[in-house]
Amino acid sequence: MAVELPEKTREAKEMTVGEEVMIEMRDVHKWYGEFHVLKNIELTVNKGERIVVCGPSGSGKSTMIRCINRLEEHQRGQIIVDGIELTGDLKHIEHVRREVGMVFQHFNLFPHLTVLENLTLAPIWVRKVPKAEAEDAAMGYLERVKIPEQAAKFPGQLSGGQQQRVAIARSLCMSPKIMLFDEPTSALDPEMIAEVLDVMVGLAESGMTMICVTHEMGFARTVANRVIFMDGGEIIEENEPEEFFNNPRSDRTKLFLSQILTH
Amino acid sequence: MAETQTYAPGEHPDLAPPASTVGVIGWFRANLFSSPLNIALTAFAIFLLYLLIPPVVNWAVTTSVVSGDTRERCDMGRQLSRMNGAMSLVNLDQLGDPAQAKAEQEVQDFFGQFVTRATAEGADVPGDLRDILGAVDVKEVQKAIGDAISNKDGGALQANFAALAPLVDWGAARNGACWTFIRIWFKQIIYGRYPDQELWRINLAFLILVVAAIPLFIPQVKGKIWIGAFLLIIYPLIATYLFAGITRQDIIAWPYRLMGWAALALAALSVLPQFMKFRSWSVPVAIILLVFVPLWGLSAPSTWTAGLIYGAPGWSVAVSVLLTIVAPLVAVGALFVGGLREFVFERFWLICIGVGLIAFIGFAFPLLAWDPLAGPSPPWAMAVAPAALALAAIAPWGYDRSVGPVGRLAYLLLPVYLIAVFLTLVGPPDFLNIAALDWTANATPFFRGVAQVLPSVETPLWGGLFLTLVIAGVGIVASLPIGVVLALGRRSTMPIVRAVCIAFIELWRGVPLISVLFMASVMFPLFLPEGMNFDKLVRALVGVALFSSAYMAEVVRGGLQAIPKGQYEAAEAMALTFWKSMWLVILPQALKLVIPGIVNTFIGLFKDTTLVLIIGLFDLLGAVQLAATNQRWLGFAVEGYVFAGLGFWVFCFGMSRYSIHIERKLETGHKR
Repeated sequence: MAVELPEKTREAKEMTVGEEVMIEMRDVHKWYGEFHVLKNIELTVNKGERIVVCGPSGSGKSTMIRCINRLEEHQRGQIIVDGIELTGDLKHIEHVRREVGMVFQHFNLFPHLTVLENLTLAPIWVRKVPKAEAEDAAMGYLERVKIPEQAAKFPGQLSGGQQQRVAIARSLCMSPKIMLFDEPTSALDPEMIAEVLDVMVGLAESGMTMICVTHEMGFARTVANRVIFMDGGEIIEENEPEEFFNNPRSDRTKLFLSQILTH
Repeated sequence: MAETQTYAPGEHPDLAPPASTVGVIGWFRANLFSSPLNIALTAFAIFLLYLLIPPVVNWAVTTSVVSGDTRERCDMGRQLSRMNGAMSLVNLDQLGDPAQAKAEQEVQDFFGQFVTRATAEGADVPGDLRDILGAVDVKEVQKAIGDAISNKDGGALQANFAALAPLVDWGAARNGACWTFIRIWFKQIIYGRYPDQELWRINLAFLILVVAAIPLFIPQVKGKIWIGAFLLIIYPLIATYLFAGITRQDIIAWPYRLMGWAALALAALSVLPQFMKFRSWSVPVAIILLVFVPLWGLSAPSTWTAGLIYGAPGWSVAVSVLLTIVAPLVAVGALFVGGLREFVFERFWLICIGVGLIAFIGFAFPLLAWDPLAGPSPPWAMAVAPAALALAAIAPWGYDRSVGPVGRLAYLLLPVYLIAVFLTLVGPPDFLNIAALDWTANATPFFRGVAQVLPSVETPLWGGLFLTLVIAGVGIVASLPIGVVLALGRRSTMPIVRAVCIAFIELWRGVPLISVLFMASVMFPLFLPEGMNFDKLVRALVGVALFSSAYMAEVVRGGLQAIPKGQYEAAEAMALTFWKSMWLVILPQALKLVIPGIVNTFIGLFKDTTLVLIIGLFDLLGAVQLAATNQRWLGFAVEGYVFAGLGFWVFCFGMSRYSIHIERKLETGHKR
């Protein structure tokens, strides 16, 4: 059951962040063969907004954010990122991908390259930054995620939390306007989740536009401007974190919250 | 018993492992004597080695013959030891018994052969044997043995046998491998029939290869990529020049060929940026085809009139005409459909590029293969294709001026290129006029110098290990990049590319190499017009390279499939283009995974080169066989095959070790 977000709330939200719309999804639908994965997704993200997307597995959260940098193709509706509509046009797609960083559940670092090479690959080859400059910048980002001493190692020699922090730094190296996080802490041990969330909180404080698929409700409470709850390919509820956790409107949300919060 | 110490929790130190699990003793315990079954197997293996090694060492080393310039020493050793074998079958008390008649006869026969050989005029008798022959009058003994056998006189026979003891001992020490055979034929086996005074060229090329390759094995050396580029691009040119030399004809033909190549390269260079630039392919592709193809169509009639006069291939006429009709339709279709649904072109431009490629090959093929000496040079072949491509390049220029640095370079080079076209149209300068050419008088000193330094050596003279290395080297170097491209094509989402790659791979993989070589050598020339000719070796090289690249493609595809989807996605998400993500992210990992498979294919290819024997090229094995079937050297095939086998083994084992070395070097510890 889709819940209409009251106009007032939305307006109030937009006031707290920038006016500039970074991502706009209008009536987005997607099918895998016969299976209707995304249904009528309507979402507007302004500059500097932090959105947390949650929902049971198979609800289409990952698919939705993967549509934003066109790792998945949508079949109906419009997705406009940084003023550019995503179509089959490779030039547009490349432009959007330059501006959108993505962090994956399984890190997806390149195992044949050192940490530093992982970080400088895209700046050098996509942004055409000179190598020395790219390396300086990369070291800066490694310091920001607090592992500059690992620069010469290969990803296989790092712990999961370190790898995920490298992955975040790698995305930041492209100086993206938007960061997408696809369950960044789901594959990590509890001890490591904290170090990754730390980095993400720091990033949020710096004013980055973020969309984060996660089940870390603490993170959602402290960082998010808005929480989106998805189920069955639809956005069921969209609300401020306080409201979302304390007064969920739909029964489906209540059930979900009771399931994840009782443990 | 050591007493058990107790430690406070959290303070247990690291202790040394038990002595019986480390070091040499530990290794033996773990690997050879870990269980009763293992002990039994170890004992059995030692027994097998005992059975195998001594006879082999005996044959190959202890009793082998290396010296001598003829086969005589080997023969004499063998005859004497055969005689000895027959002697041991003769029972002195039962002479004349039909049961041992054969042995008695053999003693006489083998000894007779030995005597004839050893006492012949100018026989190759080594010093120690000469001493023995000085002490024993073998002709006398031969006669005495004959008499003793016919008289059934056991005592006399025994006495004569005893007299032969030194000879028998001499023979027993020389009845093994006859390496003399290999020594005498060595040059043939290594170089084939390459002229003696030119052998330094092969040696020099090999030396350059070794010297250039050594730094690749030294970790400290930087700039290996330049060494690699030298080995892959410059070295083949040097080696080709050294191996083949240069003919007078070549000197005349090469300016033509270079001009043709340069024109084509420039044309390609100026067209490519257009393809790189536009992501919406419809308009530029349509313009290219609309301009380029009708031009081609117009030129086709004159082209083919000229072609037919000079004996152009009929099939290429047909292809040209077909493309002339089809391509404009495609172009118009592209524009029409482009207005309707843009995404069609993501697939569609590939069709267009495919058509363009076919056209390109259709032109490049006669242009590059045509021997200008075979008849009046067909100017169409030199000029029409580049001119058409030049126009094709200019067309999109009008559409969009921002073609990037490569495009700009191409347009800067356009005048050079037009001069080249003009020259080819007008014809070669007089001094290159073949009919009027008095070589010794008219050639420039430079050309004369070149011709004198390196006279041409025709490929039929190439052979032996040298030929094996040339074929295998070309096959190996060519098959990897072609295989990678085919593998990527086969995994493509674009149906036409995929279909072409699958068809290529399955076609080449589905036929035996022998039939490929046979087609290349016997059938292919039948389809070529008179005057157009490829060297037989070149045909074989192309056949081998394409054949092995089909195998390589499947090996590489295996590696590509093993790369997790996340790697592709991560590369895509950071805006790397397809080729960049392949080159920087996917292929380095995929190729590393399949190094064993790649080397397996290389080794297979290396050994498959022996099949060129079928088309009359004599590689290492062919040269050995040639030597072994020589009338004067019959009977040493075993030595020949052992030597050839050893030669192949050394190279294959070397490749295998090198691949292991590379695998270790590329290990980055991500598979913990």
